Amino acid sequence: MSYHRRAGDATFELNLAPFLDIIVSIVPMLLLSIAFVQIKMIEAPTPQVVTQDQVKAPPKPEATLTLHVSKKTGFQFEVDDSGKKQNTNVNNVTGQFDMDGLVTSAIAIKTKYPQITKLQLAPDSDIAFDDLVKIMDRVREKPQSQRAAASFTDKAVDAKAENRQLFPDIVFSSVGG
Amino acid sequence: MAARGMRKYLDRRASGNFKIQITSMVDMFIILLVFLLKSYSTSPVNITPNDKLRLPQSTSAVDPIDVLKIIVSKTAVFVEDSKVADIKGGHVDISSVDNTDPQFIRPLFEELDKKAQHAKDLAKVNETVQFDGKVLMQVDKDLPYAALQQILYTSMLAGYYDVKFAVMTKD
Repeated sequence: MSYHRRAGDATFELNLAPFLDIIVSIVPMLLLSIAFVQIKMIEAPTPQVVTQDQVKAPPKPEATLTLHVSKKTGFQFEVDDSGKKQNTNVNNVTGQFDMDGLVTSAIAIKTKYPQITKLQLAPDSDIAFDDLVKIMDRVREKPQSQRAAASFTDKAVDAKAENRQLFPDIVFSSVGG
Repeated sequence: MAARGMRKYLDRRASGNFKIQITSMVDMFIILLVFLLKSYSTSPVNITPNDKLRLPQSTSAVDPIDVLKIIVSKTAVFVEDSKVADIKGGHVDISSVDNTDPQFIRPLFEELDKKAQHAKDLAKVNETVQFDGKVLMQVDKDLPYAALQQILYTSMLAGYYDVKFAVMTKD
């Protein structure tokens, strides 16, 4: 009997008013700093202007890779391997850029020249910036679907590893004509 | 009879105290708070949605850094908050382009050179400040490469060669 009385007395109502005051104060502050769009960035350095006395002979790379982009003809990879040039064309499909073909060719070149990390982008003047960003995204990293296929065994740690990078260093080669 | 009934009603009403049920309001606020905390941003780049500046979408996951900003909208080129050149039909206005060098945008160069000089002067008196030629460009996605090339060339000549482009995430 006494237990039932005690249990009945123990019910109480929580005072939520101060808690609500705090939340009402925080919400306007958070509303001011809300970001509905997440901004990220892409690095695309341009050649640096230096004076003649600053010029040092840089080590000559074994091979350089240039990607020409044209609305009419599509993509053209140009590999300059110690003066020996090799071109790979990726033609447009029904007047649109063949992005899948671009990735396939980029992977093939990366497989042949794994030491190349830098890609010189040389687009035509009428290419929109949006298309350039899409192209840069495609040649920077392998797509998710093709990462497993390109995996290899890392002998140093004896574990399965994957090289997801294609050409992460992209520069605009045609700046300044 | 009616007056007595009314008094009875008012007496009953005055004596009755009531409490506002705020539990459901607290629930709602907590949901709102969680959503706002999730969208809270301390990014140095904040962009107000605008018809004249639509950034391209990218899969890049690199967070932006707080450096000098060049904003290239559909209608103008800005360095931080000051307008330096007009853009008409996707091309930099001919009045801003140098007569001898069609790639060179003189007002943009002058503004960037001023900023670079200011940063270099600051670096002389403050060791923590260093001029590293970094610039973050917010470029409209429809801008043709010809105009972008002019801006890149001019910023390169002003010493801003480490170019970064602001993009939106695809999520």
